[in-house]
Amino acid sequence: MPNDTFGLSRRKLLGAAGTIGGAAAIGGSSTLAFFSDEERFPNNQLTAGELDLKLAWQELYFGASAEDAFESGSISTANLFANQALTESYPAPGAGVTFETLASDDACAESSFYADTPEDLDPTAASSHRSLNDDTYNTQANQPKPILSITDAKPADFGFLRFRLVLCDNPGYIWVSGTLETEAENGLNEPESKDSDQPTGAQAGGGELADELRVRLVQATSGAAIENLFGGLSATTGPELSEQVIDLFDLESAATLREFVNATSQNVGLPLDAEPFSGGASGSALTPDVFMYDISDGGAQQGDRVCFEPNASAGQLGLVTALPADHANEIQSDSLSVDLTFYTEQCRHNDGSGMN
Amino acid sequence: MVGPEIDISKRTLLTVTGISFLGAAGASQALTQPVSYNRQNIVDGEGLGLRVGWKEWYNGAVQENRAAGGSGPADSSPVVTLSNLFPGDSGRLAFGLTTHADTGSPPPARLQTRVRTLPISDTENGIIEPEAAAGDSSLNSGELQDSLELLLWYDTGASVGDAPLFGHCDGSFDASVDTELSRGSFSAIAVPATSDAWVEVDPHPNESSDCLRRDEALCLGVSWQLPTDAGNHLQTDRLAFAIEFRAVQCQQP
Repeated sequence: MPNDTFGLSRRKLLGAAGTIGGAAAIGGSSTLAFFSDEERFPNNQLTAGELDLKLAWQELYFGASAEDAFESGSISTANLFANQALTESYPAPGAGVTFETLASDDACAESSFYADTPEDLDPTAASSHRSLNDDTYNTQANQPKPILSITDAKPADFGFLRFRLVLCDNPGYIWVSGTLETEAENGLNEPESKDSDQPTGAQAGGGELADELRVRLVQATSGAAIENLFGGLSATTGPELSEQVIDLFDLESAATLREFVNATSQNVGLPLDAEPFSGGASGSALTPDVFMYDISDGGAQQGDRVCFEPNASAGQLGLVTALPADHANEIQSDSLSVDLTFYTEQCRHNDGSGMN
Repeated sequence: MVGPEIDISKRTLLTVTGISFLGAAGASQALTQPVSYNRQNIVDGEGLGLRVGWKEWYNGAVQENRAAGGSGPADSSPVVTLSNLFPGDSGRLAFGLTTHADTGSPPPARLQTRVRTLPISDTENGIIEPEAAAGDSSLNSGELQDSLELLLWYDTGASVGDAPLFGHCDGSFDASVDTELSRGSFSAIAVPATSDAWVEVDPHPNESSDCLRRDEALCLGVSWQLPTDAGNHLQTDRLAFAIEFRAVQCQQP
């Protein structure tokens, strides 16, 4: 009730002030003898919040050496992400923390084992925990390599790049996008030249790998859900495993890497959904715990998707790549490298349509 | 009409006389030799007291609501203590001002207000990675005061004659019925910590008298907003300030 406002009920509430002239600042008149009183409300504080996205990852590339390890038994479908099969990881094995134990690590602490990029992408930097090897660092050019580098790809090779995403300290929308950093033909050898799919002349420069490599983007409710995906496969030989993985993710009809890069260059990237099974995301359930995004359809609908919560509920994402067996010769010796970008915006006051 | 807060009793009348006498003596002393009446010399409310009630909202939700009244220590507590602020956040306060006197009735009083920056260490509060990526390198000073927008206004609302209709003392600026007092960034509006400056508040713009009378109440609004394009360089930055009101006995009735 207006008259009870602040206990002003016994006073006449001053009404419409009309036009007030510019307020003048005047000096204090503490030397005069008039009564005065001040009411001070001191120590008001406003402090801005924080939104920082951090990552950890493991990259499995099932090529020749991983296949050897698989067939010799040192890795199996139950532990495909064992160190010997990994091309790189963040944190690297020597850091003393595993991808699994990271789940209970404080990602937002200053000493965390999660990465901020681009500074932590440099494995030679003091604060970085990225693996240091030929896949992560170009010693000739003295610079770090992008997250995904594929050289000497063979048909039926597959790769799985898994990410753990953490938001410090507030909920946020997340998008993902890919950029083709390099792609190279690296010359035409004889089988390539004989392949009728092999372009010649001016079109031969970039290689065809980006148009043959198939890509799937999956999101799991937990790290275990990803491991269980592979653990359920029955393969005992390398070729069997490749075939089963390509089937599992239906990679034959998946978007190509180039299509993935093009599709995710719209706006600020492909929108991700913290609860993809709730209907706001475009895609399908691979299992009850693993969602597969439909890249061509643009990912999640921005109006319905859910923000990722900070810290505890880390996003578990996987980028599967594979070269189906029948696209063979024209990609021989082709290579490429891909950068991935995860982008977040605050959830508060935001409709999630992306600032740009 | 004498309001209920004035106790007409023999004892009070004598006391009022006593105060007047002292006041007169003080005034005449001031003419010959400046006398400084600082806080220690004037007991709150004895001759003129200012009472402030307030209500606070943050992002549309009520935070605090305190009625004016009750005597207490001269310095009150903060009204705004908020952390984890994000672009798009806003807060507003409605303040209701009245004068009182512990004995007798208060004289008409001029009103003044200000927002005053308070020095705190480490307004930058560290530079985290998104801040650095946005180009923030000022290790010792945050930037919140440049982005935060402030508005001070007469929260009078609409009235018919003397009867308030709507929009008064609601802490919500309505340009059709409220009048702005001051608007700009925090750094443009707030005075420095050691400043002597106050902003004059005029309860009666349509009259020659600028004084709040003992039977009157005036509502002022203060609102702040962090714009949606504020920028990552502000992450974790801090700002401390005082909101202050002053009543000074009027020379005129």
